[in-house]
Amino acid sequence: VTKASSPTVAPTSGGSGKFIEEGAASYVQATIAIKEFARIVHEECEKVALDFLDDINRVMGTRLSEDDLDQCRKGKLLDPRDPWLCVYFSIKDIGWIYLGLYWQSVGEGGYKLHGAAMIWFRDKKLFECAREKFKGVEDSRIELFPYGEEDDCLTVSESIPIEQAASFPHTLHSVLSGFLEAWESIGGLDGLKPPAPSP
Amino acid sequence: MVEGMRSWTEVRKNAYQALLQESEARLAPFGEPLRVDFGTHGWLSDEREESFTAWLGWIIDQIREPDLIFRLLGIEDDAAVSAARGAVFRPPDREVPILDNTRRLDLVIRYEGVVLIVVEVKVTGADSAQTAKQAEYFGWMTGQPEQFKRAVLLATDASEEEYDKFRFVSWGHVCAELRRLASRYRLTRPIVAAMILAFVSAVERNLLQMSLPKSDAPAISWMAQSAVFEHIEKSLKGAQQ
Repeated sequence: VTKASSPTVAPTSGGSGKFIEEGAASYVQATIAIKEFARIVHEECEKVALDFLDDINRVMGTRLSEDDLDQCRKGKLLDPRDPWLCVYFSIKDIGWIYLGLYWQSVGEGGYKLHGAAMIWFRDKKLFECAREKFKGVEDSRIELFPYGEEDDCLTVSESIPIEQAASFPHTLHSVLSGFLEAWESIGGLDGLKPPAPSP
Repeated sequence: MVEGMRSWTEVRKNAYQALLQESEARLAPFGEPLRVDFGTHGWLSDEREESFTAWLGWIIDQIREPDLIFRLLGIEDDAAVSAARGAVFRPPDREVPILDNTRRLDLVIRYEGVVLIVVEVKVTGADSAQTAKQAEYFGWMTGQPEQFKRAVLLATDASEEEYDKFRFVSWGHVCAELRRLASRYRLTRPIVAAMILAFVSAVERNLLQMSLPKSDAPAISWMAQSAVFEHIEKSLKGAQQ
């Protein structure tokens, strides 16, 4: 019986050898690390959002509870084109208030970290109405970033230098405070309602 | 990131061990249900939807209090709860034939003349289960005499909040609530508490694929199970002392 000779085993093609070696060594740890990182960010976002729950309800005129807070699915399965790790409140018939971290693409594979508080409107007209209202408010930190006009959302954000990333909850406090200050100045969501017809 | 995680894993392992001890204490004398391996129990292997439905129905029959049952099924409706408090509870019916016997409802719970709750039980995710029949089920419900009608789709996970008027509630939520109930009953109704915890163990192991790391497992193995400990932590919030 002639033993068949072993087929020649070719290394992975396209020069991926080094990458495969490193991946094989650290894939499990890296996967766990990424999951744990997201868990910590979500947990801190939740803490800040719940710290502000009474203020959000007072300013926005909502009746949100702890149960209305959820983790953003975008954070569970990161989309590199739109990289968020955040939590959100759903507001019936209005939209969603998001709080979390956003990585802005700055070219050549680099990202710049931001803390952001954002409202996303279900209804385009409501978004446009809110934009109009904020145009008349001086010092409002409300802007369209990280999205544009077509995305129907308004944001307060602050960039976070990577060396200060560990203190991101502080930035979340700051952006959510700024977000609520801006909304207080226009009377919260009630401020978007059309004026009652005069008798 | 991997390097930065190394010392953190020990911190988390200690935190998770403390959480397990707390769970053991809250559920004493029965202890943490995930310590029992129901993965090998034939009655509740992952295929047996009817077995899970039957056991859940039995537990609901033991609970009866509308506040607790609504909370268990994730139904937020103060008016319906209030109405149910004064009504007679009827033991849940299983496999209820409807529409000239062409369809069957998994679980029907009634507070006589006032509240109707239909629970459609899935042992998979809502998206992979066949949910097309729900529209017919809800059509049947609208013809029923009860003032308050609530339809629940119980599944492991879902991408939507609602499927043809059936509101998704996760097995994870139900198990967290059942853990709280077991803590509540453990001294006054120990057999019910034990049965509840056995069911929780079967669901968490077989449907939710949860398990505990061995006590001497490396810290990273504990961190890899963070979802299990988050689930336990959630159940401990608001549990009876």
